[in-house]
Amino acid sequence: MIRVAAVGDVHLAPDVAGRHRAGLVGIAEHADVLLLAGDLTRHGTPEEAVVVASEYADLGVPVVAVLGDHDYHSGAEPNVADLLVEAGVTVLEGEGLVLDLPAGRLGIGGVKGFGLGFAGRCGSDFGEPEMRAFSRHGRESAEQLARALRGLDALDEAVDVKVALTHYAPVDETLHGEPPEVWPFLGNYLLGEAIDDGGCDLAVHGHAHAGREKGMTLRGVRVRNVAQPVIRAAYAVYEVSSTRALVGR
Amino acid sequence: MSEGTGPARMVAEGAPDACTLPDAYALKDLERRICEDDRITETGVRLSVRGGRILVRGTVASPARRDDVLALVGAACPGCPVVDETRLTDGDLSTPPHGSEVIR
Repeated sequence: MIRVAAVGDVHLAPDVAGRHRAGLVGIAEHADVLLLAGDLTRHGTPEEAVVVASEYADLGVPVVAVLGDHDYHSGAEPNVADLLVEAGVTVLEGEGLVLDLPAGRLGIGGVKGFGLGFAGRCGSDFGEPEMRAFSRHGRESAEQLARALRGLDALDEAVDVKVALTHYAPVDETLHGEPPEVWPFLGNYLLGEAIDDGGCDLAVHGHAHAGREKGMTLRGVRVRNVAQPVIRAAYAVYEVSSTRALVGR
Repeated sequence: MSEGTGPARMVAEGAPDACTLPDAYALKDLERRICEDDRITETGVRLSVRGGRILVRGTVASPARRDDVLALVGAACPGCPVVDETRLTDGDLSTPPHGSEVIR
């Protein structure tokens, strides 16, 4: 069993510097890894990224992150990512990562993701260039996640637990509480399909501040909305065992 | 929908009869400005008009951000009564986890 701590949407900036760090003291007693589900900054500026990097450096557990839409707002997301990497945070964007932890081998596939909507209620690659670009970007983000998760299966040594980390929601169940009219801008059902095809044990995401914590993909993968306003704590902890043997994946 | 309400406090007495209360379009425009203003960037604030008062609800990241939101609303609606029911989320950042969930 691997203890996965996760949180997203902390929206750090100089005026709240140190506030989250105070809640992360002793995290190694409660978790084996910390996943950050995007929207780590408020505007995506390098100044804010410096605050984020300081907040998560040297915690005593590996820290793995994806960026969110706020982290892209200023067009400085490469700088934001670089500052986090310099502080020891692994930033994923369409990549997989394996952590050899004392509790077992953890595989993580991470991507920010993008909107699109949910089956039967989503955009399509048709019409104006802007609409087609929106739909195409949503599809491509899911393809990135699928490739990252497939990469974890191609390793010589299997992982014990596999987790998907995104900012955008892969299911609509965790969006309940947000107005349905904005769900296409909050999540993307193709991310959920990639998670199911990838045989994940858990998926965590952020983005939906007014949503609910618990959901599930069509094939039974537990999905958790760890946006900070949802979990109302410094982080949530999930004790994850492999579920693949139980469902024959 | 959870609006993240906090304790209500009157932040501007105003006089409903002496001000022009915003209509639904103006309220949505204010919400958009609160979201897009680079100093504020609060996406969880919701505005409504109830009983001749402007009700400000939702979550804000810090006391400073709350003050900025209320200042923007006050400047856009001079003389109107404003009730603040926002909830601060900065305290949650340091709250310990609420136990753990077993996933198997």
